[in-house]
Amino acid sequence: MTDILPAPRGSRWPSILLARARAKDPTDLDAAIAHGAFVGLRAAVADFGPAGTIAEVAMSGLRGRGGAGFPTADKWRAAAVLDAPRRYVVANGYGSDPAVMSDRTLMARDPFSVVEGLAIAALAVGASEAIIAVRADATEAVAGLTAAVAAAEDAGLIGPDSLGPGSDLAMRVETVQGAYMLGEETVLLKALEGKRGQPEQRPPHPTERGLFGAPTVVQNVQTLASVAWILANGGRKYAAIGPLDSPGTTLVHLRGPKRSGVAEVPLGTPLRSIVELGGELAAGRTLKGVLVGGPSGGILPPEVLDVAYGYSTLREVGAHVGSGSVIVIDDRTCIVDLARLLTRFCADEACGKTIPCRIGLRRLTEIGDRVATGRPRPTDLALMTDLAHDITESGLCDHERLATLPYLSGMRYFRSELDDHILRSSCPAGVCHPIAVAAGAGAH
Amino acid sequence: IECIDMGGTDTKGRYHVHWGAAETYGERREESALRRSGRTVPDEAYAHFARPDDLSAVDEILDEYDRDPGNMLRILEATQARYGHLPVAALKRISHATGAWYAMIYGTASYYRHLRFEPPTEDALGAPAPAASPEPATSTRARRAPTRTSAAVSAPPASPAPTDPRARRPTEGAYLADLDRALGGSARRR
Ligand SMILES: Cc1cc2nc3c(=O)[nH]c(=O)nc-3n(C[C@H](O)[C@H](O)[C@H](O)COP(=O)(O)O)c2cc1C
Ligand code: SF4
Ligand code: FES
Repeated sequence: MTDILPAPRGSRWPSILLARARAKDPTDLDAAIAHGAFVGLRAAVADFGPAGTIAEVAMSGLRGRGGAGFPTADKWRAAAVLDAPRRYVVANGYGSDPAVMSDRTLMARDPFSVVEGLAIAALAVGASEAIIAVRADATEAVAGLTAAVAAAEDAGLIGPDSLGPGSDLAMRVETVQGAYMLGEETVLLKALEGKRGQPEQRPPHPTERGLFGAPTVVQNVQTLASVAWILANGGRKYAAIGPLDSPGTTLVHLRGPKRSGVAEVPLGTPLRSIVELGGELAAGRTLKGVLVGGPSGGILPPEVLDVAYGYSTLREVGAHVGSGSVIVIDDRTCIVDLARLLTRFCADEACGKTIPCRIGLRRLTEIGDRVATGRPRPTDLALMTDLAHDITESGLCDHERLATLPYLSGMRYFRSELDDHILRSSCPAGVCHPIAVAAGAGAH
Repeated sequence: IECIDMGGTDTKGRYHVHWGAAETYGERREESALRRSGRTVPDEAYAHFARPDDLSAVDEILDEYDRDPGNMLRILEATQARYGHLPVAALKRISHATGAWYAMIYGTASYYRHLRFEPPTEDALGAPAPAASPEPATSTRARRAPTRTSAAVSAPPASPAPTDPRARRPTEGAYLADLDRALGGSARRR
């Protein structure tokens, strides 16, 4: 089971997403209600109504927690205004980064928050079918959610007339598995339709044409849990947490030298404070950098650790929120080696629909392989830069646009280490041994 | 990413699906030239495509999922849970029953890591092949609760190990192990 890291002592980090995470039985509805579950849904049904609910979420300034940070209320408005015989809301609980347990932890420890948030979303956009999509191997989350949906149904919180007279809301848990790309929303919808998982060109966005052609709102499970809190406590109160343009808290999966686990941090927190949750480096080790954003994340050096953890701020320094992964890297790691394994993963998982994605990422991996195995060409850095930009510019989905970040950030911040590999055939971290062999024991 | 050659019926009326890396095509082509020469060619490579004796299980599965191509993943998962892999004969039957093109079904099945067209082999799994693969195809539908028992065999999903040459993509476990290695500073093994 993944640990939940406590907020640093003396900090005033609010607990919103993990407020009920320490419940003894997360699927006990009465206990959850005693701790505030379904207050938001009741308020949405009785007081706010669909338009009022969207307005409240808009006031909160909530942005999607799935990585892209799209304003949630805008998405709902787009789906709500369309005239359609049926609509879907989908909770994205896939959690595509295999090293990140945040969404899984949330669903397993507090399934009601996701059920409640999804019901509120259904009310807001007028959907009568709601699907929670979870990874098949997240058995604890699947079991928790299934029990939570059944309990909420038995209590009449979802189901016929639950969202007002004449309304209906059918909610179900669907398991999906078998590809990294399933986390991407249009791919997830394809899987739910039983099709090959390749992203769709947008527009039309899923809010216009989504699951089985109907307007569909796909929302990350953390976004939904935040929605439940917002309706219960007020959008204004939520907007007061963290920075103005993107308030609230988010889950981070930190891998630190001493401690690893999931932490709830306010957006806008300096990356340094997040890294500090992981404890001190072992004696004799030095901090080399931090990998932020998962397999397509950026590798940031210690100098930029004061950057605020947030959607736009991280992009500016060459990383992104992505899967919410923060990995501390010490001097044992070779940046070329790391960037190359991340890029290889992204290339392996590319769906193959667009050529720059399928072949470009493959070639990028191969250039990295050349650099790491002591057979670089003098033009390789230029080629890498060029290719990375071409891939980014022709992307059909965000995977492709972001998968170049490990190399781009590596070139931006760790240029001398790359030069050591290319020009001097040496690996400062001593990881890429073939170089020494190829270059006759290095050329220091 | 593999190249796909959809295959077809050979001179002896046997159905073959071809997939794999482009490098292996020359070999395949030679083999089919041999076939066309009229001599008998041993067919071990395709033995697992042999028609399963009994397709009634596929029909049951199809009935359970309303023969609806929108349920294709569930149908494929249940079929694999029954046969241990996706036999060509079963895919053809599914294609007939649902009206989905064979190529569409193949495209879907070849995309997902947990679906396979060949029985898992001993060296791929590091253990004797199980009789039937236990992919839990649990569509836990809260409302339509009752009938999902047929696929509710449970055991860890047996996706091919990274060393399996047929594995279309390395597993997540391989990525995590690589990441551990890179962060721990030790040299990578592949
Ligand atoms: C390669 C890739 C993987 C993704 N993985 C996930 C994921 O695991 N979970 C998730 O919620 N969103 C993921 N997303 C983002 C979704 O496409 C989508 O933006 C999100 O689910 C929308 O919900 P939100 O607005 O609440 O963030 C991924 C996107 C890409 C391009
Ligand atoms: S050769 Fe390459 S670009 Fe052409 S069809 Fe095949 S994969 Fe596509
Ligand atoms: S992964 Fe296929 S287009 Fe992005």
